[in-house]
Amino acid sequence: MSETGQNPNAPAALEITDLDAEQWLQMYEQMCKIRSFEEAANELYTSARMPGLTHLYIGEEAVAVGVCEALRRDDYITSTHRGHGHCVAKGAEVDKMFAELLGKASGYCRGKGGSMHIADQETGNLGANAIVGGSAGIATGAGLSIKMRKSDQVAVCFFGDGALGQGLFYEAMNMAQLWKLPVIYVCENNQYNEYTHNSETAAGTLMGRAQAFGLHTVQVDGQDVGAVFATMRELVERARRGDGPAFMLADTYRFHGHHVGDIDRAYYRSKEEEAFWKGERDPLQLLRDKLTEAKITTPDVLDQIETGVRSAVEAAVEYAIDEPYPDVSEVDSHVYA
Amino acid sequence: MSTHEVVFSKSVRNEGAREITFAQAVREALAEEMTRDARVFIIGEDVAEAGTVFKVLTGLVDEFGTDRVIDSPISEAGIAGLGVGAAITGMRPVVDIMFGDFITLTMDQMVNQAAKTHYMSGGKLTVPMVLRTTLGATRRSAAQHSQSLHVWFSHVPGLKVVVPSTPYDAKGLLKTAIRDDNPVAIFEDKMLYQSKGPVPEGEYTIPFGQADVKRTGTDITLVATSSMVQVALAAAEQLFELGISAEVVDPRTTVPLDKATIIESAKKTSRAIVLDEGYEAYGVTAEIASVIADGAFYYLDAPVKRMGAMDVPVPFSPVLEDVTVPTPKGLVDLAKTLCGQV
Amino acid sequence: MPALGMNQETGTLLRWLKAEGDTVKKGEPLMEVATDKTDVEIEANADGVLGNVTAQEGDEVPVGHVIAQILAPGETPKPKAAPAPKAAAATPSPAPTSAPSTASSAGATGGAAVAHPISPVAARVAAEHGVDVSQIQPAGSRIQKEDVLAFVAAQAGTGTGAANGRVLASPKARRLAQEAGLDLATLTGSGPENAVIAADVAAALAATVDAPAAGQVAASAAATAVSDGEQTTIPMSRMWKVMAQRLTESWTTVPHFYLARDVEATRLIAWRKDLQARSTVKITYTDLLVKLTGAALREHPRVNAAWHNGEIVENTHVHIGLAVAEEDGLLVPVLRDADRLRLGELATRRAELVQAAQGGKLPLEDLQGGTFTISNLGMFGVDRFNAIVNPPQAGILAVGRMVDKVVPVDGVPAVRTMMNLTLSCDHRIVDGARAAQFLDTLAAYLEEPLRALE
Repeated sequence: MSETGQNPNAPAALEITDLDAEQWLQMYEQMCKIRSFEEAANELYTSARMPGLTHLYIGEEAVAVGVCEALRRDDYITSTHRGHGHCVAKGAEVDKMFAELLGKASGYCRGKGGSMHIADQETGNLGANAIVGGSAGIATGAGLSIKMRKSDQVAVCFFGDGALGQGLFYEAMNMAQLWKLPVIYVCENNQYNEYTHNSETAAGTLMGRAQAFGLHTVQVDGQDVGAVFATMRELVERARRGDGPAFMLADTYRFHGHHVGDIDRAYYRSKEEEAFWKGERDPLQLLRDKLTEAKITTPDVLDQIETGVRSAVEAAVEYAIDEPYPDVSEVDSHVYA
Repeated sequence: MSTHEVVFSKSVRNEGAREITFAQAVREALAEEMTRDARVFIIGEDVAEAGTVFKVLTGLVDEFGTDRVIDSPISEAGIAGLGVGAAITGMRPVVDIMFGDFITLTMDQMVNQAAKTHYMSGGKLTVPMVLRTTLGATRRSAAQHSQSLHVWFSHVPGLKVVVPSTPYDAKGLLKTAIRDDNPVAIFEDKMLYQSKGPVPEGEYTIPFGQADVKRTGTDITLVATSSMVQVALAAAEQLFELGISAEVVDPRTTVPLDKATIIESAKKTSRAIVLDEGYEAYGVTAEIASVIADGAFYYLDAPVKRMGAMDVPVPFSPVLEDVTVPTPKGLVDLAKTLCGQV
Repeated sequence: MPALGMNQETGTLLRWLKAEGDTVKKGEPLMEVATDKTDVEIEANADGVLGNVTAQEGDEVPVGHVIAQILAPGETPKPKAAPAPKAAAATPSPAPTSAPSTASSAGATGGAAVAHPISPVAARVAAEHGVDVSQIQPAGSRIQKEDVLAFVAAQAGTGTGAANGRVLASPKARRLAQEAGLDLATLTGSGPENAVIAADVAAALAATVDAPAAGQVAASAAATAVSDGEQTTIPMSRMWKVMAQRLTESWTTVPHFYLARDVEATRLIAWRKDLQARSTVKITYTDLLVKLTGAALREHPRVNAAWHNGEIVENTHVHIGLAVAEEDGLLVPVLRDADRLRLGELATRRAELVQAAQGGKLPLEDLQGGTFTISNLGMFGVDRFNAIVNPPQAGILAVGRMVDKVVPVDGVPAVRTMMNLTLSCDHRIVDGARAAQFLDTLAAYLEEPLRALE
């Protein structure tokens, strides 16, 4: 469900002039980087050079970028099985990410985590989680830690609409609100719980779940990076002030299947629906149009950004392919600290 | 049988030390560690003013305040998850789970999150948290408040599991657990909380993976954990009267397990019985028995035997419940058989 | 061929939706592929012209294999790739079956005893049962416990069931009995199900000690000497017990005969002197004896044979055991391929083995597999002696001291350095004539060593 209804906490629309050109171009570049990363990951996977399983973030780039551009490097995020976008947006280096995807020693987790478990404490990424909803407790615990340490960091918990089926969320949101923890729950509502539309899995409204605990809630167009950014900026300020947690519902869409092998999708969603989102609601195209129409920049500049990002991603892929695998002796290291 | 000698180990002896209860030892360990390290805090149901249902933490909140002794909602999964998140980001939480039976609710957080985080991150993130909970039957609490489920955590690489049997061990092991950089689950026997034992004043810790020989002997080894150590010691005393010299070995931590001491003892005595209050099937006793069979095979003069909780949900009625847990009498009978005294 | 699922190894091309040369756009349906789970439509991953198509409809192709290219306008196709491999051909060709060993070849050349690799468990079980593992024909390429148990069962004539006739005993009792050289079957068990337990072994040991101490339980094999004033019972080491058992077995079951011959050692002495001058390794007469005996055995394979279950089995290799006296008994470390080792290597190896034997550090494998034995007591001033054959070997050579003797040379008395060789043989394997021929060859080599090197 893409919910419609009361959205009293929505911030005033972001005027294009509220940000300078450099900020807009930075967001465009980050979104391009995610798109390009995911296309390369898809290519690596389908050409059988990447082991395992991978879940592409293509279509949802504006959410990760809009959220993370409003964060500091020392703020925390927890991520999901569809987590490459969050990781890139929070500032990770794509070469080490690809190395991890390929199980190489120079990967972020020395090849022990893979696509679904990249963690990078340097950028505040507490790790992607392959248990749906599994990081609700961790993000909330990070919020508790922030409060106890009297820090002004915030913790962001990324999750999908499917994770709202997990009870842990309700325990965690309850405690976050009770203790006014600086946690922002970002629900990326791409409408599908794997292969099932959320109208079949969620009773009531998605927003209502967080509202029941008295959380500050807001709904945002997840394809509009400006809107996501503006909303998030406000939620982050609230949290830093000590006003407690918030819940942001970002409506978005997964252009690809649940995972790369999910090609035959007609049984759960129509080609027309996909064509609409890809054609009319592509976050990169929407930003492009917006920036060129407002004459913030020119198509040439945007093309140049895209080209630069693509060649960086290509170089990162080559780097990762050439990197060595970990020595087998590492198999039982890091079981215990 | 050969000459009898009874030598209590240092931890049991502690001559001259004051005597305090198991519960006091636990509280003292927490207070000392919270004083020593500002990152340590406790979160759980009724841990603050109530001091837990077993009154183990009574008074702690007065000393450290509700910011560090935090009453939580009844949300075991949630507080375990908060513990993981706080631990990853610089705190050293002690998560209190009232009854060991409730660890089932924390399973995803402990097994898939706490235990895996260090490994999955290639060693970058650490989870220095402690989960404190209880085990043990015979409190007439029926099937959902009486189980000893420590083996569930013992099965998962990445977690450490502590099963203290005396006030001395409870204090020293809990302090070690709090200082350990890994997720550690510590299971305290509910029935032991009011038992007294010598605990020296002042600082000491007990390393993990170091079994304690609670009584030395030459004819049979009784490997016992937690609540079963007292059963083994009582049985050893009776066996002594029968001319059988029993050695009681307390592993103190099931992960890491001190295999060397256990094997050494079994080699010496040629016979072994393993006791643990967890269910016998696929249990701690099975693991330790296999360690003995593997490591001491050519020294064994009798099959390795196990005694655990009977494989039934713990019943309520006292007459039923009492037969589900190993007793000194049952242990004495089994030991006699193994030693050829029928 | 795209990978669409976890652990997918191949995909089957069902249908091309575009023909070679067609223009395709990114996202357009290109082909239909079947995996083991489902049939799917694959979209083009780029704009361009379809070319270089190598997979035909119906082909099963490994994932990741290039089956076509989408060429940018104007791009020339790369050289036509090899046709898509069929999935079956893509699996690696079968690896050679394990260890193309001497096993098969030696086995084919005539029933020689062959050393198969053996699992540690099987080796232990074999040792427990006193089985010579070289006699075991494994079911596979490696001797497993089952093979040993089957062999033991067959030996005992108790049918095929390994458990048949097995004595129940605790692991500790088994170990103690083995160390004491006691047969478990002769003991009465007092444990559960009448199993033999350690106490039963200890009681049996105590009973065998003819001394008042017998009433006490002699649990430890390392008991001390017991004296009643008239006689002293000396405790035996495990090694001594084994020696006693084996030599008794040989003396009572092997039909021995002996051939003796004096040989002149003059040239041997000169040879050693010459060799030693050119070698940094200390070379002993024993080394020369081993070398020359090896050469002679190579010419007389019957003397290098063994008696296995009523059959004469010639050994492929020449492995010479050297009897080494040690405080606690007799050890016979084995010099493998003694006939093929160069003298320097042989001397080095011999020195290592003797040292290890005397230090009690000889690995089991260095005590096994000998095909002939030499016992040299010359250094103890012994002129000549008869040695007991070391079964299942055919012979053992007893070597006496070198001593100057007056001997007739061309009818005139002369003084020569002489030594005595006495060959003991198992008459079931070797007859007098064959043994004499071997001894003649060996004597000739000793008297003119360089002939052996020709």
